[in-house]
Amino acid sequence: MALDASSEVSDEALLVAFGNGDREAAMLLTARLTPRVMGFAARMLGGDRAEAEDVTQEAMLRLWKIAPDWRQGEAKVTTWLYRVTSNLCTDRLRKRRGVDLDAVPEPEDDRPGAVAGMIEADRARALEAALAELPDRQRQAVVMRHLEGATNPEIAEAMEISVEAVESLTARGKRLLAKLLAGQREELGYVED
Amino acid sequence: MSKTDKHETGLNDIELEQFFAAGRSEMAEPGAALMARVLADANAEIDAREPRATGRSRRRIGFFAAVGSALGGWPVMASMATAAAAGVWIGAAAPDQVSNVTGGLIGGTAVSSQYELDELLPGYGLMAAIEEANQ
Repeated sequence: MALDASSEVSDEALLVAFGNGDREAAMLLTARLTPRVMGFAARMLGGDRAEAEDVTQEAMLRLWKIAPDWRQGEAKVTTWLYRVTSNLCTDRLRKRRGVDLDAVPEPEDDRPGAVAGMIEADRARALEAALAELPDRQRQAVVMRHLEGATNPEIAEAMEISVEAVESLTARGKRLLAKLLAGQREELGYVED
Repeated sequence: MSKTDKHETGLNDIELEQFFAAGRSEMAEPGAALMARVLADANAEIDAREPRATGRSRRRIGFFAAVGSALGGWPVMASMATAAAAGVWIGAAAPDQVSNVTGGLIGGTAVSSQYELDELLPGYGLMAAIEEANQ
């Protein structure tokens, strides 16, 4: 398979090629999908990089193993990966729940000029901390919708629920996030009077 | 307004979107080591599915070994060697006995002096006899 044509080949076609022993397809899928899985896992796990890397490797390994049985047209590879990654993250969150909820790094509070507003990195850290406070299903729906850019039908398929249920989860998750972030913003002194 | 009331109010959608935008730009990138591990897993999976392409079976096979294998292995090769040796012995060491076995068909001028060609083939006489019998 020519590298210059790789961008036009779908994930599903590449996975079928990999299932037939195509090592170049393995390289392309690794480069294309690993960053997405890693980013999603890190968000689901509250920014724990080491754990996100473990989950990413495990999710990709499961993808490699299912490849020979993959049928094109039945599902999107990314949707399947979101579902597997979500389940792996949920398992890990259940195991560690109540142990290290405060492990997420706190935003800096002594930076000059902070009153003018949070810089982007601080906002990202604050969001990460707030996401960690959401119930698992709400966090998954919000992350997929607003950070991964997935559509509601894709989220519904990944979470194996209806589109209406996705909308409900997303709405509730956003309401809770808005409250958490507002509280955090005040506590950090970012609110201008 | 108390602090609690402000918490209940929360951010509006525009403010919340600013946090989402920041979150999108801060995506965790996989390190080179992770990429290498993922790719190694992929190649190991291919290797596991193709046992013929790995290990001992990948060893080069010699020409005679390949021919022997194609013909049926060493028992068949041994039989062929025995037959070849017997042929050499018959041809070189015992022409008289061979002549007796073949009834003089092999052995130079003796053949032409003892038999005519039409005696060795189904001739017209036989065909005529068959036709006569049918009538």
